[in-house]
Amino acid sequence: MMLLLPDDIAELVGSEKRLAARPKWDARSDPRYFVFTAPLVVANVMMGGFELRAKVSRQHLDRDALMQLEFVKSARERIGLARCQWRPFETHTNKNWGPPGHELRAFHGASHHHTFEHNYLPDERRMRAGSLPAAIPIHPDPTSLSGFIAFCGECFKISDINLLEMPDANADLFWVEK
Amino acid sequence: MTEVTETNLTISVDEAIRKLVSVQHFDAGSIVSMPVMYPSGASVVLEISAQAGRVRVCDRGGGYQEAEFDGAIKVYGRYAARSASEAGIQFNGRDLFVADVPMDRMDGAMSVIASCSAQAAAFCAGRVAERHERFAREALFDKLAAVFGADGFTRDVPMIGASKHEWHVDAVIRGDKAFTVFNSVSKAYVSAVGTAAKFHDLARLEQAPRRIAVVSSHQDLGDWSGVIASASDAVIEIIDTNDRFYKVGMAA
Repeated sequence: MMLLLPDDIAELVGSEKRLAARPKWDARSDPRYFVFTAPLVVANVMMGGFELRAKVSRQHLDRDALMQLEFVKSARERIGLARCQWRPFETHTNKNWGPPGHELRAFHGASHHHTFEHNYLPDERRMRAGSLPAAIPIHPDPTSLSGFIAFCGECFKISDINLLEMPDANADLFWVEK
Repeated sequence: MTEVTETNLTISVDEAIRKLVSVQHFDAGSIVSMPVMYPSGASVVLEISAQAGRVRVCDRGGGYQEAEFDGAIKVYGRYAARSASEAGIQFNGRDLFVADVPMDRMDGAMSVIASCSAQAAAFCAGRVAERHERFAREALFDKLAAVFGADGFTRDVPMIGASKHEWHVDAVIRGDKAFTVFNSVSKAYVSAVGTAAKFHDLARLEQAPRRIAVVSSHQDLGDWSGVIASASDAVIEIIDTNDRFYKVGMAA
């Protein structure tokens, strides 16, 4: 049966992972963010289409970063599986169906985790529509970018997340809060 | 839970309104979270800056990012450009913006840009959902091929209903005296209403075909179940057994 996600996607997401190589930050393709996408290794096998994406602000050192697990079937078929966001500028608001206990909860600039479990529909083997619409808070809130990246490593079970070097960023004096 | 009184309701509404819009000011400009949501539930965030004495308002590429997460950048690019053109604003391939906003029209610029950004992202999310529809049809074809053989049914069949409107059904199995039509259906408005209309029109034919709606799960269909069931001979799940598919198909 032709479906968007592989049958074992839940196992893949829950499994121990490694980075295939040390990711390199790309400072050119986005004017506001350092970005990279990196393939992931599970049980010594580099899984086709199973990737980690990261975006880190070039303007703000103390906020506005995200890391996302993705399944990439083709350039046109990229599916977010789970995402952590660190002190974003936007407000995220959950729908009225959940996650349980977090219905209609709004995260006003607060760090939050779009978990795989709350956004996956196992009976249909697909993610909910709308790019991971369900989120729960991140407690405690990481106080630094390195703390956030370490948190994502734990969340996504990427054992060698410490391979990742911090982007070469300097505080943008124009984007210091008044 | 706090008891609701007229006084604390007023206070709570005021507090909720204050939370809906927020702003942070920097030397380079201001960042505003708007009470407009992308499909993911994230709010539209605007960046307002002054460059060479001109005020620039942009969406910080927020709509682009939503599309990027869905692998729909090309679709977003087309729709954002069209949306920008219709609203008289600019699009540079990533940001929706107005480069020269009069100070006294900033509220209008913020509303228009936030609205265009959210609409373009929502259009992309709709297109991604359509992709799922196509996969649902292909899943149906795979299932019918497993049960009846690749040549045992016809795909994408045009059929004239009692109204004389020409419909397309996903698959048809022809029996000796009658035939059965299969159509995949989801809870998406267009899919559910379209299938119901199609099946009702086919049901009014003198020699009406058996009409089988195939869904990913009965639970997912929600209250569309009643709309679809009243127009169908059977509503079955794609994960139903081959035997069940065989029985409904060969009842023709």
